[in-house]
Amino acid sequence: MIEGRCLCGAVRIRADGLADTISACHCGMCRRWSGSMMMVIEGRGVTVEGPVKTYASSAFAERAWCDVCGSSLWIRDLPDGAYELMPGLFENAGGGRLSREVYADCAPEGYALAGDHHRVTAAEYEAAHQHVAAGETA
Amino acid sequence: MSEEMRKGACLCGAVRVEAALKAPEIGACHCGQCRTWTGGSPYYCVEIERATVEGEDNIGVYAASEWGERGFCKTCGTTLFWRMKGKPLSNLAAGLFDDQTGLAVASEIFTDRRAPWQTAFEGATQSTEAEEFAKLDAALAGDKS
Repeated sequence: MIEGRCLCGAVRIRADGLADTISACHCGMCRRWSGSMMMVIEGRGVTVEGPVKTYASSAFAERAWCDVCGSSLWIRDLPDGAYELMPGLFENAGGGRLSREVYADCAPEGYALAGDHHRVTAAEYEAAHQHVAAGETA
Repeated sequence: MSEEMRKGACLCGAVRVEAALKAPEIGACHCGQCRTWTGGSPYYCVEIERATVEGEDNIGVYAASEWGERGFCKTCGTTLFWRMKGKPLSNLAAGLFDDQTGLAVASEIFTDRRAPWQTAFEGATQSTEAEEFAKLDAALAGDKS
């Protein structure tokens, strides 16, 4: 069991466990929403308490934040996809390490990440996730 | 000197901005508050001279400290800005801008709080938490004098 919280503490998120890998997304939607790039870590057995708001950013996904402080909380496929939680909610980013960048070829040069982690292009990602190509545009 | 104007918007479009940039430069703040608030990344922002903002009714503001406030879109949750309480808007989240061309990280602050996967941006100025708090104390003292 691991517990995380938003900046103001009004939202508490508990998970039975977190993946040990963090993924960054540079698609246009994630860039705008997060202010740069979105980082996620998948949670298992997630429970949430507090003033959460959600926005359906496409036909198949929602994005969540704290209504009090605006901390980003998760993105999740609807209706019951896994919680892709923001690692910043957890102490030491939940112990995860950056393992993957998606839409890596869309990353503005200004905030390119260094390192030898796996990089997936927009075309590669959309070939593997065809509902994304059809429904959510970068 | 001509000013560089850029337009931007939150994800849902409820908040729209048009800003005069100080320079096509990004500042990255690695402090714990910023990394919790944005979800893991530093807060990457562009310093602005001024901005016109449409859709202000959609902006939620959270007083995250005695001196700072954080703005977000109440409709879609987009990260919008950090500002000094009672001061005009002086920066906007870099990701808001439609055109990202030429924006590059020129300064990094709270560098001793950097996440393990972040490396320093080549050529960017570096400043630690202690250095930043010393500057903040000086700025706050200046306001009181």
